[in-house]
Amino acid sequence: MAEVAANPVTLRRDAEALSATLPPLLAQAERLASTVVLGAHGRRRAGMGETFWQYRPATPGDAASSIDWRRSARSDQLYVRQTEWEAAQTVWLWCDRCASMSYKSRAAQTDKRDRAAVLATALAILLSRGGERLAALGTDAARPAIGESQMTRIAAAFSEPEDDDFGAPPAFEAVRGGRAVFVSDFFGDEQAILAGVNAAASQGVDGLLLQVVDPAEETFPFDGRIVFESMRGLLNYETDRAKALREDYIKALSARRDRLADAARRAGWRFSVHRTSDAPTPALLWLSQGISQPRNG
Amino acid sequence: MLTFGTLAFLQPLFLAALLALPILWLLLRAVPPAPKRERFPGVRILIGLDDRERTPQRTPWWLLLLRLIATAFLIFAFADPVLNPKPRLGGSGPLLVVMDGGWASGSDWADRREAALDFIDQAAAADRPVSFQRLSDPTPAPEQFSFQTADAAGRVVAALDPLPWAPDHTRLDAAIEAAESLDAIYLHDGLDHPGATDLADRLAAKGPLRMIGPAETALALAPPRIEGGDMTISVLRAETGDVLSARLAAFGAAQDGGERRIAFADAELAADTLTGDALIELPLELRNAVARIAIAGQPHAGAVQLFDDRWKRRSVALVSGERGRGEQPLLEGLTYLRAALAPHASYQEAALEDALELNVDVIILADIGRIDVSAETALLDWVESGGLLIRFAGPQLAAAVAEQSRLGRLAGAPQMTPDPLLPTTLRGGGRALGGALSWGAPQGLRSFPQDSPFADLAAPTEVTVSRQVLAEPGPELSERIWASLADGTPLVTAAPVGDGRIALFHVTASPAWSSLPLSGLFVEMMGRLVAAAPALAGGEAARAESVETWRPERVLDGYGRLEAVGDDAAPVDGATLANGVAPGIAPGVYSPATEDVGGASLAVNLITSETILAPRAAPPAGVFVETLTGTSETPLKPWLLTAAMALLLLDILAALFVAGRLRRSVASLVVGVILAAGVISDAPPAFAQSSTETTEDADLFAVDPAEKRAALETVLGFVTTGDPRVDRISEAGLLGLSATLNQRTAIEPGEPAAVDIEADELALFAILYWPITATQPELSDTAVRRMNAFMRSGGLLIIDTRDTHETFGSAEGPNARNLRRLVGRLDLPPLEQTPPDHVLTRSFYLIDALPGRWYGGPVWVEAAPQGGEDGQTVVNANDGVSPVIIGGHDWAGAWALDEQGAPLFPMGRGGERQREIAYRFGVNAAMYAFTGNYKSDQVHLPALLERLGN
Repeated sequence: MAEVAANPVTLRRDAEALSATLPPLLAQAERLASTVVLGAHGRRRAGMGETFWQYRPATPGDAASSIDWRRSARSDQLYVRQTEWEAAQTVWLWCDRCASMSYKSRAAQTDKRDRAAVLATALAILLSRGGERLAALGTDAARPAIGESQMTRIAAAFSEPEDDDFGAPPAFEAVRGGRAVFVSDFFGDEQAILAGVNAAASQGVDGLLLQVVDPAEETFPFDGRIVFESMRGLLNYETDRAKALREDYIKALSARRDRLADAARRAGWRFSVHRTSDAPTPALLWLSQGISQPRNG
Repeated sequence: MLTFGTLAFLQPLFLAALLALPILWLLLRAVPPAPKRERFPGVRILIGLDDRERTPQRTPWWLLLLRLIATAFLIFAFADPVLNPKPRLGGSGPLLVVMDGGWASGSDWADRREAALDFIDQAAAADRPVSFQRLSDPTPAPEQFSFQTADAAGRVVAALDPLPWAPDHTRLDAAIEAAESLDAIYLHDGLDHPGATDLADRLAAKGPLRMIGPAETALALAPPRIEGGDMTISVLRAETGDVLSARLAAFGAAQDGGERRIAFADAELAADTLTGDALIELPLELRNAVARIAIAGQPHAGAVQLFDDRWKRRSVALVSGERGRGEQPLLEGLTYLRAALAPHASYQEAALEDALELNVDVIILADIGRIDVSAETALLDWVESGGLLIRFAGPQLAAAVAEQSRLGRLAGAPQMTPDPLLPTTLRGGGRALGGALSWGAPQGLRSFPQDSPFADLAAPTEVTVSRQVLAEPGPELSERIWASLADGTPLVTAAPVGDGRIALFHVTASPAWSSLPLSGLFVEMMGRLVAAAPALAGGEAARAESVETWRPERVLDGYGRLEAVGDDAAPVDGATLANGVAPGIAPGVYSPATEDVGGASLAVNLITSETILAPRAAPPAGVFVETLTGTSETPLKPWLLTAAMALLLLDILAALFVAGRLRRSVASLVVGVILAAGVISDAPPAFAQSSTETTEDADLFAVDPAEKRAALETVLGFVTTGDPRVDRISEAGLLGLSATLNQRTAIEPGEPAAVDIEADELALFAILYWPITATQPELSDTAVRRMNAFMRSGGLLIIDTRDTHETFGSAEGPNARNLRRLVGRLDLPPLEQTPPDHVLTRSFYLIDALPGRWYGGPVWVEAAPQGGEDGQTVVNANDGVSPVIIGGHDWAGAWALDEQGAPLFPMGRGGERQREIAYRFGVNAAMYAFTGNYKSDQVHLPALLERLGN
């Protein structure tokens, strides 16, 4: 597993290495009816596609061109040949690339941004192999598309840092039945994050929230007189004895997580935490399974 | 100025700022250390947390202390503190600065000059004119003081050195008289000189006077005395005081032309004495080499005593009537006389007529038979005026005596007219003892009579006399005998003539007639005789007067350094020099300006046996008296500022450390670096001065270990060529030959030695192997001389061109040119190709060729003398052993063995048998070198013939 994915090529390579350990992932389609886009999944109903599905007796109103004359010739009735409806699921990926994600304490192997980008890209690769339509939110590749070129665009997009101090999931125009994956530290403005999640959920999108944190952000190993600054220096907080803040901080952090998890559950989403000091594979597993499992209920 | 002991503050007002320190304390206490800044994305979570401990932490006390100390240092620094503050000059108007500037000022001249310059600088600052006067100046005394700007005077003073004579305290009398009032500063040397008190009184009478004397007056070194053969020398001081130990060092000329230290001695001055004696114990040879004795650590002219050669050594003229001089030095009396005289006297060899001109104390006539009338008269005059004439008997003297007595008999004189230049009348013809036709054995010595100068010498039994000239018995003979043989016949007789004396050895100065010249007794006898000679030269003054003009050769400067004087130095009148050192007449070594006078140099010393050092009398009342501190004013401001800076740097580090910004290891590193830098800059930069002395002492008697080994055991040597490969082969070859010699013969050489003929002593080797290479540079003159001496004194030089295998027919090998280039300048004898019956072929083994790795080339040795059987007429130097063997057979290559004893190189066509022959040649050559040509004796010829026949 690479430490740093500094450019699209290495990021892609690292992500490939990670995703190679998993079987190709086929997204579970739940909303067959409401989507019209053709894809590699059979939707187990008649529709547009190439795979034969069934013959049905022609009804008035069927176009003459849709009649299967060979089948109709074997009987007295006219039949229409129907194909299985094949449609790809759309997955919107949002990988937080803001300054706060560039934090790396000494206990961590890599900074949060690299870890998040690797995880997101790996997931994208798995999905792409399954023929899903992918979109990277907040980047050039924000329009869902299929294929290798989209993969490349996504990988390129995820390896570019952003300037903002903290990130929040952007609003997007979703297709009902699509999936969303948000990877971030979720240290930004809580309201903006929750708004992003709710906006997506309200469009009928089902999703995953993966919080990537540095171990230092969980243990708060500081002492002495310290001015804490955000990575861009926009926010700061001064204390004379950092150690005294530790318990409060940990409490506040878990409260925030609880709120996020709660919001996710209410939207039918899932929430998990990944530490940069840990191996990334379990997190990818969680992501891929979360994508392929049908929605609760 | 605020003064505390040796510390003074030039700007004391700044010290008031120290009062502000407590306020600073309070202020600093309140300011917390700067916080550490930490980038942390979780800050958004922190915002809104309630920080319970918002009160500022206190500055740690040690940080506070650090800052206060730094501030205090700054305040002290601005108060401009100085250590050992200089005296400040008061008054106004023209300033007179007087310095003694004589020899006694040499030790602390730098301090004196510094002090004078300091006053002049202060005068310059006050815009006061200055007149500077040095009492020791050899220039005419000034009529009145001329004042100049202080800067001009300062430039004069800065360039001044002390002068090596006493200051003249009457020099300024006229000028002081002429002046109306004077503001004077007088830097004196603390010693009483004639008129010194007067001068102080006169100056004090004219106005304010500040007298600055040294903390310690100078020591002086009195002329040495010879007592009972040891040299005693006194150190003088002006004032009693503490127990003082002065170290004296005696210097002599080194071989390289420089000076070397010969001896040390310590003079102890007890607390209540003014003089202390040091005994300089030296062997006579070294004592005679002493050119200068000086007190260590007293760089002035009074601490040096110079020696000239007349002072310590009698001069001797050697006149020899021996024939064939220089051919066989060991058979010449002169050789033994030179050796015997060298420790005691300086000698010159001269013809009889010239000897009298040399102005010597002793004349030795070795086997001079007839002396013509004019020379006889002159010699007699010289003896009567106090000279010592020593004569040695010999064939010529014996012949002359016999001739005279025959003439006397012919003339019918009843009594022989005594020879005035012999202490006793001699009988015609000598006697030989222990010869083939005599019954008697060679006679030993009888113990020396009481009134003889040899009385305290022991007569060794091994000295025997086989021939002597006999004295006519007479009434006064017995009292004239200084030494006699066991049978009572005289060996040395002596008679006073006028103020002088004539002594006669009844034997030769060579070992031909007796073994006396070979014994140590001879050296001692010559020493006694020479020492007994009255010194013709009087004291320094008398000698100085005896020559009209003297030319300074090397004179002492004010720091007691002996400096060579250029040829353009003004000559000094003999009469003037006789008065001793005076302004303008520096102590030193003088030589006669004209060449014709006998060339002995004259040492003129500042301190004579009459010199007494006395302290200067107390100055008149009202005089401001100061002591030269010797320590210069040290401004402390830069140091304090530096320290404050360092503390502030430390404070930065400490502040970082308190804020947790600095890791401990980095901090200690930085602090360490700062401290180390401080220590280094404080370290006194004076290591170099003392170390040189020890090395000088060490190399006096140092013996090169390689030379020691070569001297203690038999060692084969090889000449290093500069080509490492060739040198390795030479070494391995000689190693192999040495091993063979050890196995087979009584010669047991050690490991071979590499010899650099340019540098190493060759006399230690009997055999030198010299491979010829193209790369070796040509020999220097010294090397040529050494090589010639080596060959002449019996060494065997084996020169190997190593190129026989590259020659065709009779053509020369490729190295022949190099051979000519290298050895062309050596004094080689005529050479011939080794004849088949040469000793080399039978000195140990019987061999018929001299092969090395190669064979067949010619091997050259010294041509046999042409005289044939008549060995008497030909000087058979070195027993007829050829000093050189020149060939091209690469002998070392054949002999060369590796560490395991296996041969290094394959042989030429001859195979291993040839190697064996090569070893045999090596053994023969070594035998030849060590034993000479005894194998060529007729005695062995029949046996050799018999074995050859078999």
